[in-house]
Amino acid sequence: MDHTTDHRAALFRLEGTLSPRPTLTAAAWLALNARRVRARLLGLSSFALAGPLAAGGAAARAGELAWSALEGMSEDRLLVLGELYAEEHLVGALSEVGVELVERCRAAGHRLVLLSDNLDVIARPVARHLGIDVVIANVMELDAAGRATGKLRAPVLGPSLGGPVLAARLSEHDLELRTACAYGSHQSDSPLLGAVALPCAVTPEPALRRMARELDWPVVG
Amino acid sequence: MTIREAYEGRHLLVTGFTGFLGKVWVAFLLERVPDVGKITLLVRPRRGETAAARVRAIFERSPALRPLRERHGARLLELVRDKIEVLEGDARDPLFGVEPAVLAQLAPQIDAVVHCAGITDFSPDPIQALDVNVLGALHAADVAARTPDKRLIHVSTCFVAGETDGAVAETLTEGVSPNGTRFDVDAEMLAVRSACAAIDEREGGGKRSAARRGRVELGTKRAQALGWPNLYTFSKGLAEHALARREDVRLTLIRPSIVECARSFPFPGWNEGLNTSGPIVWMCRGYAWKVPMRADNTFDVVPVDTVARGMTLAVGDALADRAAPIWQLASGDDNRFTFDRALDLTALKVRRGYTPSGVNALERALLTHLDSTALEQGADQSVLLPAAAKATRWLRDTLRRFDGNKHLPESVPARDRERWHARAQETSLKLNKTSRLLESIEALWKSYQPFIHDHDYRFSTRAVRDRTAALDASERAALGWDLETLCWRTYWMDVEIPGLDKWSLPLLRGKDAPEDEPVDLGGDPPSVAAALLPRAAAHGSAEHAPSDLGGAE
Repeated sequence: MDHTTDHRAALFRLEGTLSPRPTLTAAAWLALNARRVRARLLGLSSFALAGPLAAGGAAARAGELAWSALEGMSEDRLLVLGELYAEEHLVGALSEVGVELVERCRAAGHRLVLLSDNLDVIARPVARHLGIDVVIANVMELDAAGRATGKLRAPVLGPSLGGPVLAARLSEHDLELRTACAYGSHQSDSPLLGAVALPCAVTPEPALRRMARELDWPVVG
Repeated sequence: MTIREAYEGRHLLVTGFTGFLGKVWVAFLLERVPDVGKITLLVRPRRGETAAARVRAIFERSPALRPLRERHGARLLELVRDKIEVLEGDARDPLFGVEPAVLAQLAPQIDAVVHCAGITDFSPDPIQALDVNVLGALHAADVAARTPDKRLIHVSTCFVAGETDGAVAETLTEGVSPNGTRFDVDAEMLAVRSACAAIDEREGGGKRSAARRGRVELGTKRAQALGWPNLYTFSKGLAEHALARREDVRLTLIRPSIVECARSFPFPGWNEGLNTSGPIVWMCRGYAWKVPMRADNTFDVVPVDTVARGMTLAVGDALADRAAPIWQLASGDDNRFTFDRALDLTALKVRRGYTPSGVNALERALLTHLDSTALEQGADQSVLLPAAAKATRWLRDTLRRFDGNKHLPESVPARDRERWHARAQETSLKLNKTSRLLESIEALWKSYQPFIHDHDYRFSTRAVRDRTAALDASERAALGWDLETLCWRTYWMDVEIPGLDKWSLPLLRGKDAPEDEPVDLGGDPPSVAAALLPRAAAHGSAEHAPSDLGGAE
């Protein structure tokens, strides 16, 4: 048995730690690539409403509205466009610091986990690119005909991850939240960082940087 | 008895080897059932090429035979000499045009006749369709009747179901057409032949294009009166009914649906000729924004190697004298694919960079963002294409009539007038091409309409599924029906579209499909006629080669 490796989970937030692009951008891009022009216009109007909601602090409501714009989209389209979005907008613009941390954790023997409140169809290609085997992300609910209902499958992961929902999802992969190390960049990542054994703020936004300093969390970048 | 045991040491007489399915099936059989005794290929000579030379060329360079070439390398000739022999003949001729003496020696050795030859064009000349598809099948039965066990396996099509909807069982009610009309095959053939002869006489000869058009129109009307949408399904349907009356053969019918690119054998994507999906994909990749299809109808596509698997089971069971009488090889009842999904996946493939070559950046951006969707109206209801064709023709004629000297004011210098005149003529020529393209697209959609719009078929595939379930694990993996494991998204985007692009669409652009680098076989395959008769007496020398049948075989 190898006693030098550390098999605990290393949790990486896609949004912020690895990619600068917010989740709503992906939802908007998908909606603007709907099959029919009418659906694209509807998607556009949803985002005209979702934007101010998100800015006003109603992130969950904004997310609901944004994802609802994908109602009727086929599973094929979600998968193919999700992959295309990941390839064109995420993989090429991954944060160097974040990627380096992934490599360090891999070298240390951690089990790598990609956390995202984006759709799994977008998070998985990024995980594949980074060699991350576990992805915890939102899943679009599909109807019997394989078309998106516009609602995310419960339990929905919001911008703030952590707590029992995340712990339960990790336990499906035989991983523990309590003993994990986690990397986050936004203030909304603070519940996640607060719930793990080894939190780390990566190129944090000012509010998280202040919190990290107060709580004596390591800061990278 | 396993399927492989059923083939062991058996001798098959196969027609249609030079066609898409025939080639793949024979190659599949040689690869997966290597203990098959012998396969005699009935091939007609063409364009100065003997049958043996045609077979040799296929073994040397057809991509369908690539796995065999790779596996056997320099010993391919050994395999061919051991397993293959060529019989020169023509399915349209009684007893395939084979010398009675040759047939008398060959027939007792044959365990089964597998008849794959046929015309697959939707609107062939009715006389040719009857000759090849109906008489050819009856000639195959005549040959099978002379073999000891009288086994005939006839490859038909699922679309003999004609103008019906919903579930289509693996059955045949002899003498009753798809719309329930009682009919007699001989009377139908005689009526079509007589009417065609009258048209030829009226038009001043059968070779005139007006006569051909008249014959096709007449034949199509007769087909539709009985509930078959076109001459292809009519002739294949008549053949089934004609064979069902034959009590001197033990008949197995195989009905594939739309046979498309290989899933894995000979290799992913291989296709030959212009099959149903090719023109659809070609148009959806371009500016066909609205397509006259019914979105939720079944697009009953089956990869050619999946059909080869089903055929192998059906022929194997026929050899073991336990075959179900009819085997439908389709996808709609087991793993259904719809036109809407095909359009969506084609658009997504375009989005992934699959756009026509030679388009500028603006066109490319437009093409990648205009996704084709179903129009729901049939092509006969569409106003867009006819209007576009009419407008193009009007513009073409207007520009053709344009005369710089006459229509431009005198103040315009003579050189400019000439320049404008030349430009107008040039544009008119381009518009002529465009209007012809629009007309052919309109004609194509109309010919496809019964299958992509009017009817939604669910062909039962119980025979092949039940047989596969009864196979042991090793035979199931190598020979069993594998459609339920097909992922349409992967197949359509990564196999079918690239396959069509490489092997079929060049034909639409007037180019040849690529062939493999030829491997010298070192000699012709053995010929039955040469072995049994003095060469001069053998039937079917190049001088007597029949005219080209286009889609035959």
